[in-house]
Amino acid sequence: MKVQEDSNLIQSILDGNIDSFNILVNKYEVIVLRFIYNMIKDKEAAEDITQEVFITIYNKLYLYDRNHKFLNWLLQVSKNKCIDYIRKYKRVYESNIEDIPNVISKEMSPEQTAEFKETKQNIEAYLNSLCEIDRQILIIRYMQNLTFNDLAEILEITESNVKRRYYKSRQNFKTFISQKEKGCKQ
Amino acid sequence: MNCNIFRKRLEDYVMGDIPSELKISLENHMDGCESCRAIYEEEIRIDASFKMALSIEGIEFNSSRTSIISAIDKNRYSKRTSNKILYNIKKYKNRYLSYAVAVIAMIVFIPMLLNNFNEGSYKTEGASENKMDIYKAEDKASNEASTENSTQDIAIADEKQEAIADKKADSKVIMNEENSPMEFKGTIVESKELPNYEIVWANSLNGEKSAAIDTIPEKDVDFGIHVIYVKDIKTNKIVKYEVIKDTQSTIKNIQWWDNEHLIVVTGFAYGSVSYGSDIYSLAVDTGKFSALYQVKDEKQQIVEVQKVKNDLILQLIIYEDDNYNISHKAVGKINILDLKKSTDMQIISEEKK
Repeated sequence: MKVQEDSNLIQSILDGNIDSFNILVNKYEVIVLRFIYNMIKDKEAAEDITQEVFITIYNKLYLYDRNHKFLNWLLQVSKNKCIDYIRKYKRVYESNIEDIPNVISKEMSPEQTAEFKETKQNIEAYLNSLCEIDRQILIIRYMQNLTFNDLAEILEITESNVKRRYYKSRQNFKTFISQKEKGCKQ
Repeated sequence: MNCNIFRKRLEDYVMGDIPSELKISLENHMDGCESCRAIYEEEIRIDASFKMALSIEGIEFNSSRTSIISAIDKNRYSKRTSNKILYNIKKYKNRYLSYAVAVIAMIVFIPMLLNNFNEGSYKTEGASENKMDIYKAEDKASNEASTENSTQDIAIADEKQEAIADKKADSKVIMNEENSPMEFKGTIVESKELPNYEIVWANSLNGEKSAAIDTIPEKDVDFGIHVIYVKDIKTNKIVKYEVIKDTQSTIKNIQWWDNEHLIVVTGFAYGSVSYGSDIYSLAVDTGKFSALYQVKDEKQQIVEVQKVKNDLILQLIIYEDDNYNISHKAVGKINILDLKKSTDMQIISEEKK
């Protein structure tokens, strides 16, 4: 049904209906923003890139292949825009916990907050140690409930390759965490 | 279910990528197995921490929807057919381009292929014609051989076949070239080097010189390359003339032109079909050969040439059929002055059956 809706919206846009595009932006803007933010960890840049993504999507909408999910195409374009941005600015991924004060629930005790911060730092350190594709797989996987098939479409690699990389990254994360814990104890 | 199977399928279970039956049995296993349950909880914890770490629920993004809508070209798409066609072409431009390339390639290559095909078939036809001729000639040769009760073996027949084929090729070359491909060499020989059988000598008009071919006169069928011997009757010096180029041709017949020149008829060396096709003159003093005439029609064979006043009188055998089976005699005439003009001879008399 969702796919059908997207398809109708896109057809309507291609017929010159700007309102349909407005609906489409409204529907997917947050997903794109979050995806891009997770990739580059910069709020301002994420907003700029999101804007760029939607403009590109609009201009290239006639190229959209209806055999695929629109979201996959949208995230594929977003991913490519992020890669362009990263290449352009050679940005180092820094975790800036202060950026997101609202994340930490008011109900959290100081210990829980500290633990949360530590886990987050660990995961980000781990993600930054991964190669680009592995990192993207984990980010997309945990951000959106997408299937391996969707991941394969977005990242333009095979499904089996996505699976293999995903399980390997998880396995390595366990090792990474246990080494961290050992390091702390010593 | 044992622990090994559980651990193998655990990842799929965590992903939710698992059939419901298996899901139930995995859950049942977990209830009974403490260690597997611990592993499962560890996986869930990792999942949760990833989700939590990547969660950005708290961040409030500014919507850029308004600026997006204002930035886009609102007239880009429309319901107009021209607009649809334009974007259809843009979308499938690679496909259309490849079609166009394919069509152009077909337009260019099909005539080339057809040409090649035609040439190929023409060549095959030519080859088969040649083959036909060879078979015909072979038939003819074998017919003759049987009538003459000659003991020719298969090897000779094969040789004939090849030779006839070669002759065809050669004759084409001769036609194309103005200069004769034949070259002759004269060497002084001792009288003891003459053939051991008797050869027929013919004296020149003034009786000073005598010439002969090393053929065996009694034998009707006569194969092989022959040489001319020219003997000075006074000094008894003998000069041997032989063909050194175009070894398929031989001297067939000689006649005296005057006291210094011989008319030499040459022709294909092998087979009983061929008598002679070319006329040369040989200056016996200098040993210089020069081409005089060549028959244009392969069915006309020169047997003998005589000079009568200003004309060369050619005794001919004219074959009537393609198999070279039926022939009749004829006499041709060509004026000496016409020799260099490459005009054809006149048939002055023909013996019709």
